[in-house]
Amino acid sequence: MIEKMSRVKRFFLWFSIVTVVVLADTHINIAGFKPNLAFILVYYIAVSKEPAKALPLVAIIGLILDSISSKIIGPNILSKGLVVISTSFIKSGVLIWTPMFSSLLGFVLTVIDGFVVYSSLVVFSTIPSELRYALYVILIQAIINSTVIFSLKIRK
Amino acid sequence: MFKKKTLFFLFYILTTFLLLTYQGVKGPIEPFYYINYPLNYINETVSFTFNKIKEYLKTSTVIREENERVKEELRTLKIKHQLYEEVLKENERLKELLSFKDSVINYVTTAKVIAGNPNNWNYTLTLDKGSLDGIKKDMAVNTLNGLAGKILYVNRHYSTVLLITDPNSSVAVRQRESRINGILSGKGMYKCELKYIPNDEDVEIGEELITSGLDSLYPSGIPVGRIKSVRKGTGDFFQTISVEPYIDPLTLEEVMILRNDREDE
Repeated sequence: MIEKMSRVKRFFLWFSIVTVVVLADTHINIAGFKPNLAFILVYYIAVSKEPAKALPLVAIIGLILDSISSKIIGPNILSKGLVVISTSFIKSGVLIWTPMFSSLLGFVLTVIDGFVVYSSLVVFSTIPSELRYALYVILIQAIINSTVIFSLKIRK
Repeated sequence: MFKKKTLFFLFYILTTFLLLTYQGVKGPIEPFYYINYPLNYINETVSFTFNKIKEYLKTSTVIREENERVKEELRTLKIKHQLYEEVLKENERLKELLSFKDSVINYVTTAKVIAGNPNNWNYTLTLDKGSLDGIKKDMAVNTLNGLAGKILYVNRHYSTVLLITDPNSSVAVRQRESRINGILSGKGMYKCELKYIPNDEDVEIGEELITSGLDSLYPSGIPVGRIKSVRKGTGDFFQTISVEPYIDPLTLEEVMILRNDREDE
């Protein structure tokens, strides 16, 4: 349906979706944790679009997320890009894309996404928190995301 | 086709790495921060709308409940009473802020928190006021409970606060009773650590920390937090002291911006 829309309509639709997701991430707290809903959007883009179209889109999402932090620009661009790249390789395989598989993939990719952001900050900026807390946060986010992905039945 | 795709991926990763490396050496590229400018406007509108809806829902719920129990007149009176209580509370809060403002010579302005950070790795907040209201980079951000942080980045209408719990944050502090000086560093996950306190100094759990003003960034005497735990390593020169800050970033609504000592001179 989105593909049938005109370019302008599509731009505004994506702009609205990205804005709503980023705003939701900014305002929602689940027991003190940010749920990383932007990842679900990135995952949807990675699964449903060709890498050539998906990469620029997720790069913009990453850039927005990085710019909000008012710190180093790049960790989210890199992590979201890697989600698209990993998904593109998995998509080209012979695996059957069931909701459970999609959910498990979402879990693994959330962990990768969180870990890439964390390690980029460690290498290029400062250690954002102790590793055990980081792992705990990433795990919580992965559980939330995989549950949402399972219920949304995102598939290629 | 496969080769082209791989080259595209490599180009993406390499560009991001170059961007990161550049910032690792030269520091953050500030023009990129303007990207969140429109988002801040939307954030402010969303906060405003949500508050209005919340207020509306609260009021309508109260009206419904009252309608079941009492007559029209009594209901109106109760609503009036509730509104009065709300105004009274607001009045008390503002009075408290005003008295604080009067007692603080470095007062610049009061601002509302319009957004937090969308991820768990950066401990920053966005305020609804910027350079037009007199806010400048590195100004101290205070609350009624204690120190919140400092201004990290400012544009005309908005500013970003670096919280004291962020690992990039360092505050010169002093223990209120024993007057021992140290540096309070953020540890992430809403925690802080008091650094550079030698092993031979006696540090008591529960003692309050205040800003010392030695860093010329934060005015002296602002409460920061309490000492939560103390650990003395056998081979270490300094103690490992965990601090519980007074502020809770998740519930912060209004903050006060204070000029630092450097600007007073």
